[in-house]
Amino acid sequence: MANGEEYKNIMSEMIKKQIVILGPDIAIMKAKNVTELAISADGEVTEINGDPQVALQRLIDEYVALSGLIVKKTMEPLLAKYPSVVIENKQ
Amino acid sequence: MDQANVSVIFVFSIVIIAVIVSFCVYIRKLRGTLKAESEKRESENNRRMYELSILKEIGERAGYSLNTQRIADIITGSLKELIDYSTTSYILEDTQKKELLFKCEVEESVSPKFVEDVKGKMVAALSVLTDQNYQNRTIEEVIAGTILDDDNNEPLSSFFNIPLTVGNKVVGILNVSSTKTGLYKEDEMTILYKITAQASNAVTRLQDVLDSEQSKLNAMVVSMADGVLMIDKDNRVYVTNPKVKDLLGIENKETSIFDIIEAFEGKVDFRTKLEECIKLNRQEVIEETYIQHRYIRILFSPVKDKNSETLGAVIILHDITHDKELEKVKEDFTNMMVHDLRSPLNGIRLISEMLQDKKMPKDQFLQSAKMIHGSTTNILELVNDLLDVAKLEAGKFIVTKSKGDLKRVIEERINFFQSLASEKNIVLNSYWGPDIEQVPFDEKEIIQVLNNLLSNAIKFTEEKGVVKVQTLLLKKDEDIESKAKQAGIKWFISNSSEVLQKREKDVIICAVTDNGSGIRKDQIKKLFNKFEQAEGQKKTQAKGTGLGLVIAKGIIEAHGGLVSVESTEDKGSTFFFILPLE
Amino acid sequence: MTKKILVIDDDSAIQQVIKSSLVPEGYDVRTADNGQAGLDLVKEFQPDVIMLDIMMPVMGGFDFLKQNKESTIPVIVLSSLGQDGNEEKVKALGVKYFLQKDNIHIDDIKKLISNILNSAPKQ
Repeated sequence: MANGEEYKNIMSEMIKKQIVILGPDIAIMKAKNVTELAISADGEVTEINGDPQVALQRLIDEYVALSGLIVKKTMEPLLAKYPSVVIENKQ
Repeated sequence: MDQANVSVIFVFSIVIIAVIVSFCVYIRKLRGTLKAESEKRESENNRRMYELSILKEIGERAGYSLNTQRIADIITGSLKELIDYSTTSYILEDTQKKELLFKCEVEESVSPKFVEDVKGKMVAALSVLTDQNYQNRTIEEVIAGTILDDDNNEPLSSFFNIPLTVGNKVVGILNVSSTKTGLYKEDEMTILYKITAQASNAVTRLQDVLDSEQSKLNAMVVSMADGVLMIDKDNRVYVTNPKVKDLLGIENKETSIFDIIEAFEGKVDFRTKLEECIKLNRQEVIEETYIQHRYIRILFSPVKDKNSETLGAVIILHDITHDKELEKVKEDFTNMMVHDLRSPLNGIRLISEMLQDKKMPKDQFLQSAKMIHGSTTNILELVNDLLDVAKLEAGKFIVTKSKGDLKRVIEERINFFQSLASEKNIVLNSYWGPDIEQVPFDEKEIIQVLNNLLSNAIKFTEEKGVVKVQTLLLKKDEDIESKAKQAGIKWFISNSSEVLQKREKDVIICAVTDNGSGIRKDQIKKLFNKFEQAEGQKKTQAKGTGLGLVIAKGIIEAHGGLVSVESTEDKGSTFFFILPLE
Repeated sequence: MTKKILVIDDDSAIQQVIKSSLVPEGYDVRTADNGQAGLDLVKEFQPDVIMLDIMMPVMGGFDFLKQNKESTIPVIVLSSLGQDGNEEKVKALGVKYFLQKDNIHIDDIKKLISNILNSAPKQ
């Protein structure tokens, strides 16, 4: 079971990636929609309030709603980096 | 009234006023909220209308052409109505050529650096998306709209990118950028993502349909016996079947137009014919060209869509080698027949000339007469044979059967051929089986068949050989080998003879067996073929038209019977026919 | 000295005609039915002129000429109509004289033979 730090890291990295892909404004806007998360001005996840797994899933869902399943592809290297982090495999 | 009442009324009034005022404030607030809500709803509706109109336009304009660029153009072109921006751009990747195209539409004047920054952000996004390095790729740039201003210092302050995907593959990226900060609201941006996603879906679905149709087409084409090629307007090969590669000797897995043109190099001007076909909108033909040891006929046919727009051309490669061979064989046959007719006629002409020569000695007359007789007989035989063959082929060969004495006919033939046989010291005799009844047959025609079989047997048997005519009754369920053994007959017919296996009734079997050089298995089928002659036949000294067996086969089949031959090389052959007893 | 003529042709009428017209002129004429028999006779008979047909069974005119290349005996090819391609091939094999069977007359045969024999180098 991964700890909160790892979830913070993976989510921060994810947001950073989406900042490059989608642009800073929209990437951070969408990240802020996830209520469990406290996001800094440059897209770092500073705090997780609640279940980190749920938060991660919500974050992914935000981006998928925007640009589709292509998001999952960009997630793959990140998941490989944090093997103990688990997400639902909704295809 | 005293003061107490007045103050009560006063307080009461204030309370009422307060209630009214607060009620009014409440109402106002409510109206404000309602207004905001309705405004929101209205803009929501506006956006929805916008969304629909964009999708409709994409549907109409893109049509069946899966031109991602057109879709990108439509989306970026329509953005003016929805949002404010300085530039809108897209980058597309041409998967075939591996190039990138960057198109930027400038709405409000910005500096060249601004555009460079936009491009940079887009390339970076694309890199992350596709996990590839675009550093060394050539990027074609098209910048349109308002002129760029070198003195404008406003930087790139806000932007967003929308990835373009078709079938889960990233094909490009759209961008909206502005000099103003914090310009874009979530709602507006989200709508554009949605539209793009929907457009991608539509394109993907369309691509799937096309792929499925394409593979159906391919499946049909793959199995065709001819080589089939389809070429689009840009000279790209988009359908090809294995036969093309086979006929042209192409080994590359993917056939390109260059492979095709190269295959035809120096033989025919493939390219010109193709161009003519497409430009002049008509079928073109290359009647014959020799490639990879085969003769091929090439047909070019233009292809149009339902609006009569040229889509490309279909090219069919048809192997005519076999037809050409057949043509040649027929030509050879005709030449041979003509030669065989002309020679004796010429002989007669020359001899007649000689006879008119006063110096000609009288004892030559008899010789000359014999020669003329011989030549005319040759010609007549040939002409009769040709006529018979023609009749057989036209199905007009008539055979009149009547029950007769086949034994007598056979014995007469044996007598007739005795002198010919004894010239080579060949023993000629016959065997007649037990319990053979009267056989229905056409005497004249069967005589012709026997003549042919006997003269062949004698021709192809060496000195001191043996030729026998053997006749047996064979009931439906009897087997030939045991019957022959019982009768003490030696021949080459076995139970495996196809012709015998085919029989359905009782038959009479009449065979001519010799102990000559036999016939090779692969030569056997040529024997009964009008156009081909087995090798042995060519080597004979005596003349014959070679049509004898063909005619014999025709005669027997007209009787409802069958002809065949069994042979062992160097041991001999048995030519035989079966006739039904009814 | 009696001049010897060898006729190689599977057509017995032609053989007979040539024989009958040349023998009274004093020639010694022998015949062969095909190229193979012809080759044998060339060795045995040693003719002064050869008259050769192209289309024959067993061995035809071309093969005969190829096998007979070394010889200097003049050859007259007896050609038929419709075999134009043959003339070129045959000339390539060194043949100079042709007679068209369909169009020929007895006198032509006699004249050609005597011309050839007169112009041949005396041996």
